[in-house]
Amino acid sequence: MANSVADPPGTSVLPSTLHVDASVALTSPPALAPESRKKKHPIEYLQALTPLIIAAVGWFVTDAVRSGFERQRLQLSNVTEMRDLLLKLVGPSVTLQEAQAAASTLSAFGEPAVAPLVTALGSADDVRTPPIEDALRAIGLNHPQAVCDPLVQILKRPSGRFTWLLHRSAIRIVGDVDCANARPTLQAFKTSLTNGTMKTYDPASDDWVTVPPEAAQLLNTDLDRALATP
Amino acid sequence: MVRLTSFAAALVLFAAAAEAQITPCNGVQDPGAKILLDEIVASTPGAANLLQPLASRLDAGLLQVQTELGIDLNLKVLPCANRKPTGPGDFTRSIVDQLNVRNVVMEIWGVTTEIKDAQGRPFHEASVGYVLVPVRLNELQAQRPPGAFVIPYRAPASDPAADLLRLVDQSGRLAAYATLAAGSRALRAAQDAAAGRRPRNATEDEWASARKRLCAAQALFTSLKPPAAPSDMQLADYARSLAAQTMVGAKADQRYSGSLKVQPENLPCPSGR
Repeated sequence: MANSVADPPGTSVLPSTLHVDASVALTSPPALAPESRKKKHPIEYLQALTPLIIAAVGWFVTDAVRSGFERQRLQLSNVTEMRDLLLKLVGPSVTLQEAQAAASTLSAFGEPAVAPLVTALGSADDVRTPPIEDALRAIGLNHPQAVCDPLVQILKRPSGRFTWLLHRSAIRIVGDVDCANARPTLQAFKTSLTNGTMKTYDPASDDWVTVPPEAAQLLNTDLDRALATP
Repeated sequence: MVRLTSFAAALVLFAAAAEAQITPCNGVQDPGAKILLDEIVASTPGAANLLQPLASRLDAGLLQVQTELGIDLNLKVLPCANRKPTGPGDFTRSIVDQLNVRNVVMEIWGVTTEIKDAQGRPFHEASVGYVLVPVRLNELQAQRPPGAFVIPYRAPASDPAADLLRLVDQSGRLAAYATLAAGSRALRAAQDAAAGRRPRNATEDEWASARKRLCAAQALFTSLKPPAAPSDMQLADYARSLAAQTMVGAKADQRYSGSLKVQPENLPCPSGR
């Protein structure tokens, strides 16, 4: 401290060492009485949260709209990409190898490919039926319900415009894929076949005819196999 | 020179087979038993156009054989343009099964080329393939007898249509194969009806019908002109054993009361056509 402050004129000389005794008291401000606090209105809270709410709603709406658009775009893209494969599969000059390749690629689309494959199966011949059955089986391993629902529906409706060949394919696939709740439908189909009350659609006459004996036998064989699956 | 000619023929046949494929055949979904006549891959220009007339001539030939034998195979020959199997290996279990459910009893395909011998005379070098669908199904389960096979063919060339007919018919083999396939199918139907796996045909004696066809097939194989192909010998034996099975099956069928019931079990087929 010495010589650190200019000495005022006419004052006595201070001692070289200056001792200052002081104490500092730290005190909190006096607590306000509860009644003296200013109560906030709920609107104020709402006002405070408004930006957050707007952000959340905006995010939700934008995401839902974007998801919807993307889903539609994906469906459109699936349709466009599946179109060429389907054209090849049902085309008049498809070879066995080409049918296998097209059906196998279609199965990679998963659930969206089920409907066109089932439709194609309805008119498939000796060349196209095995690859289409394989493709539906492949999809059914990952998405059993997507494959089972339309096929079980076909088996439930013998009065539909479905030939016995389509019924046979449906029975084979339902038996191979683990179709939950398909057993009663298969049992009912078998009973109807055994009773001789089962009729099948004949595209040539556009009418429903009694299932021919050889067809009944083939259907029975596949039904037994499907029902034997635990 | 002969070696060179054979090599050239082999190259042509191989090239034709390399682009071969099984493709759909219009009419395969139609009702009724049928024989598929695939495209005969030929080096002769315009041979593909002969498919329809060839099918008609085969139809007529089969009808004549049926009349001679007193059997009704009720088969029609269906031409399948652009369908070109590569060989017996194409006829896997799933494909043969699909043919069977569509009432196809037989399929024929062929590869032929016209070449010249050392003296410059034209002749045909060909391979004709046959699939007897019910026999092939049995072969895939029991490994006997051959249900799909290829027969080589070599003959002097003359009129293209007549040449193709001779090529496919193979000196009457076609009728023998068709009758065996139809008989084999009829036997399976009778066996399934006896076992209750399918309804019994009330209008026909299925056991007797199967036996008649199988005995006719055996007679047709016996009357084939030599040289017999190795597959023919096996198929003739197969026809004989199936004909014997009809007797055993009919005797054992408790609900059957037809003509075979009273015959001895070891009754052989009548000899000759």
